[in-house]
Amino acid sequence: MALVEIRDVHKRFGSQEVLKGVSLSVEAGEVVCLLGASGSGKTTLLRCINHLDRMDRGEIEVAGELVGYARGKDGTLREEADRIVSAKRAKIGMVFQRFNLFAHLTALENVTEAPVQVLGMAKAEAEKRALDLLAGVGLKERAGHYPHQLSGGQQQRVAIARAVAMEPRLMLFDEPTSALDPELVGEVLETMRRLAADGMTMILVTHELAFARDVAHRVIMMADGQVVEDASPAAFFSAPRHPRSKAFLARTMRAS
Amino acid sequence: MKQIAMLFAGGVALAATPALAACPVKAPPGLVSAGRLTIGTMLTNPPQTFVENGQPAGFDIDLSRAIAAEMCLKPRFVNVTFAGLFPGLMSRKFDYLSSGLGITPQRRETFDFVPYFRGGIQFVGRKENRFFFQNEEGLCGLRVATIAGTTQALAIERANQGVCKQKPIDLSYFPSFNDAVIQLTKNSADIAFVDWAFASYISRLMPELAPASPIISGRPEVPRNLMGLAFRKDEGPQEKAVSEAIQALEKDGTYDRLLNKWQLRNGDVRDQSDDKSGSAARVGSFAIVFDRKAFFDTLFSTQFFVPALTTLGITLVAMLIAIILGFGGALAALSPYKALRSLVQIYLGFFRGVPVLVQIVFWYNALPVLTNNAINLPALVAGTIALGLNEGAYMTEIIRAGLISVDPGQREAARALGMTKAKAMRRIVMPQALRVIIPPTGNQFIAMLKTTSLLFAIAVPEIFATGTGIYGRNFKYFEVLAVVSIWYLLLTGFLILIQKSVERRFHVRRRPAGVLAVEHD
Repeated sequence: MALVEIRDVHKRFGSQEVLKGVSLSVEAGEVVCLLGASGSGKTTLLRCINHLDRMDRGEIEVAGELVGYARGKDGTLREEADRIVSAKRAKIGMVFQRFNLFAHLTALENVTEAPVQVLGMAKAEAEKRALDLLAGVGLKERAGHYPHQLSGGQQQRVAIARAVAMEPRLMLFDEPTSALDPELVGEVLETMRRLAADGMTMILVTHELAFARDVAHRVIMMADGQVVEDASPAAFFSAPRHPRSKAFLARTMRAS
Repeated sequence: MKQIAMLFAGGVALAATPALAACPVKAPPGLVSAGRLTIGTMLTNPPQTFVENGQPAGFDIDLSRAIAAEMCLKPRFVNVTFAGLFPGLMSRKFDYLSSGLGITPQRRETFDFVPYFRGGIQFVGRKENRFFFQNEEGLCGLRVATIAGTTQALAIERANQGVCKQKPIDLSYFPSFNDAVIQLTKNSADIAFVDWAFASYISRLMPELAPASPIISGRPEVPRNLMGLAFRKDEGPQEKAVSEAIQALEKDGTYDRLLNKWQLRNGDVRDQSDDKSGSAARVGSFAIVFDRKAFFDTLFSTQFFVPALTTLGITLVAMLIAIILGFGGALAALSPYKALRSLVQIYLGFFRGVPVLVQIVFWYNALPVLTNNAINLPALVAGTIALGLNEGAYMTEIIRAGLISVDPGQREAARALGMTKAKAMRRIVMPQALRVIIPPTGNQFIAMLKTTSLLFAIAVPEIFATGTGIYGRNFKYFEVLAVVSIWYLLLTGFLILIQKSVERRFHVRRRPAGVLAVEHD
């Protein structure tokens, strides 16, 4: 059974329907890139997976359990209590476009905060592991720095370490390099590349086509709230089938 | 105040328009306002000075109207609080004061008096208690309400230093006799200590009250003190003209007619012969000088220690109430529930819209009446609650602003890491919001310390009330208020020091761009 099962997910914001029945499954260890024009619903789909956004219809299972919902006796879904949803979210890592490092905490404290507060890990152990993780992303000597003292690329690498510290079974990346200066993109992609090589299951929303081509196992093209193409990177980039894929590639290639 | 005074002047102009030639007494030179006799009075003291049908009324008012008519002047009454009477006279706001003022040796050092009424004091109690005392010494251990800086207060304080030393009288001061008597009806005092004229008036008006003593003197050496119209010492002609006018009124029967009209026969100034004050030698002369001795005596006296602690205590407790309310209010204001948000809006609208002084008096005087005495809080408690509730509205806004200043991405990141809503608030959002909340909260603390001075209106013995009590007796307004200011400066300075150290501790630092940032540990 796939690690992530997304079935017929619908979501509307007011009168705008952003997801119109999306179904998708992701196997453990897979790296899946979600591509598409802005407004195609990629980010919303990502945020539904860990229940940061509610969905209106459909269901999402991660490792065989519904996230944010419980199934009633009659089969309908109802939202779960905050405490239970939070415990399930703890097993899904997320990296944000604007890093969202905790501004009042140092890089080290950012990484130890959730293991200590959510998992109940001892502080000393959490710090030891956090330093290892920071070393892994090349930032051990920046452990005592506050976010505003770090560059965007360094902040995003700390944010990745912060997510990995929870030992998630799945990681979601929401345009992790879009807010970075071009010269800082490489260091973040390199970190993600090593994470993928370690076998982490990753779902990414990204505009880095080179990364999608080189690292992803699958590319998902979304348009108007639906999946229009699901292909291997080789097939997608050399011979896109759907007209929206072709148009998207033509536009983004020209831009870059 | 000025508008009211003008209104009053217009309403009484009719009585004072005979031809100039017919004036029995020549108008004195140097009047505060030409063609007018300007009289300072406190219109909360029936039956001598009060407001009836929107006009000044009472024995004193009628007498001054008659005096003005004798001189063919228009009377103009300016209503001020008791604490404003003598300072106003000194600063030439009035030609004289007529406000049931007792003639005391101390007052005579600074002012001249023309006697017009026999004063004396009388206790008032609730009828059910059947109190009846021959003098103030019987009051030991009772709760007594009176007004600040009066001869009545002096008599009580003397008793507390003497016969009542073991079981002192619990004395509280109010802005007016009315306020003092209200304490009886809401059972915050056992005895009100007021002018006899007011005592007989209020006992006729409120059947549950009764006089609790004969008319007695505030001073043992003199049977009954005289009340006088008060003048500045440097203005003899005005005093002489008013004196002549009163003699004329006594002769033509007007004075008797007014005594009868107000049922004040016991106040006939001609009935007594044993008061020496009319012929006593004048002591010193009036001059505005800084009394260095009075200043330093007040500054270094211990009488402000307890009031300073009271002020500080009220500030701390009121702010604690306000901060707790503020957190609750801010969370409710940001909650997804419309009913909660509406409730907060009503709270903010009400408490920010009603003057805090009104709220203070409401909690103390109106609430007991409203609840039929089920809720009857001591002044200190009522005042502190009133300040705290009022301040809570401002703290709600400050804390709400702090919470929404935190980037929503912070909360989202915390939730994505598996923190519950409560933990995300406590660990991630609140510590960052505090940096925005703390500086204005420090300012509110300092503002609150100063606002506590409003509690003097309900006789809470804080710094300012203590000051009014002192200068009400020694007339050293400038010196005493200077000391009061020094005490406030000391306390606010102390709070500013604490504010600075708290801000350092929470790493509050403003960047040039106005962005809040953290400092390195």
